[in-house]
Amino acid sequence: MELDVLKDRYSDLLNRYTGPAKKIIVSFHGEMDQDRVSMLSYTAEHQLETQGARRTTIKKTFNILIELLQNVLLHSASQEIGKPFYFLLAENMEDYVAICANVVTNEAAKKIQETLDIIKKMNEKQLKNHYLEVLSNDQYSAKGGAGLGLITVALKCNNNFTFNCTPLDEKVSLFEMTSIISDK
Amino acid sequence: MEKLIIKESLNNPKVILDPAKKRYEISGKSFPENAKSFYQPVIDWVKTVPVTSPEKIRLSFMLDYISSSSVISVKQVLSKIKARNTEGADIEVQWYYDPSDPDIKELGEEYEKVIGIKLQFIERSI
Repeated sequence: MELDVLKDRYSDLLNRYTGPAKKIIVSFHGEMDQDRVSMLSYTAEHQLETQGARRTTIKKTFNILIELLQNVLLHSASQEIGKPFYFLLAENMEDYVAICANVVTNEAAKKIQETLDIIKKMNEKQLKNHYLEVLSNDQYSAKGGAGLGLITVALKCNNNFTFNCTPLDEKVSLFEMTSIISDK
Repeated sequence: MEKLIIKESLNNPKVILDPAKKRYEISGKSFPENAKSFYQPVIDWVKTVPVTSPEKIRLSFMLDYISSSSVISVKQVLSKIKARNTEGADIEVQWYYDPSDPDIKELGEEYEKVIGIKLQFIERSI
């Protein structure tokens, strides 16, 4: 069931970003590992350079992609196969859109949702202060992250992100996050 | 204080801590899968820097990109350096940054605030 949902959503996504003033730069659907994090982020960086995106935009996008993709690596909880996910980076009018989705436990989904709801209400100054607070607090989570990843994504896209958690059954949910990076 | 060399990969930086050649640097992109275990040998190396009759060590950080989990691990390396200096070691941290990319310089300034360590900021062009 998880894999069918991921496959259908990915297919919808490809359709959504095909058409006038839209262009898919990199997209992928499959299982995650560290080599894939590198492969997708370097490919995206190269493609953005090739099409003449601003250097600061390329840097921001690279930052966001690494955080989104490493989150998949650290926090996946599929009951069917390793770490299934889908990912897409597209150009939409004058913006770049990065979308990443994976399966997480319902408990993790609740925690992510609470964290992102708080982050979403912050202005830039509050976000920076929050970043410093988390940096001061030396704790790693059991999975190796430190809570800085989501704040980093929010800072790099000027808090222009959306997310949703769709429960798939009593144990797991599909978590999808969309970040919009302006190239202006 | 022994030599510690870690080769650069697509996702981890190059580490050269070589007392014989007096060359100390960490350079490249840093987003290893497990930043904590990647930087642990560096922390262990800092613990071996002599605190009596110390020779000045200039450790250069030349990072092009650093992921959030590496940000925490590098903070732990810098905290250990600060502690070791308090014990008597003489390690100066040189923090290289590209002026066209404000992120790395800002990160260095954040480390100064959060850890209370003094970094030598050095501009470089990539």
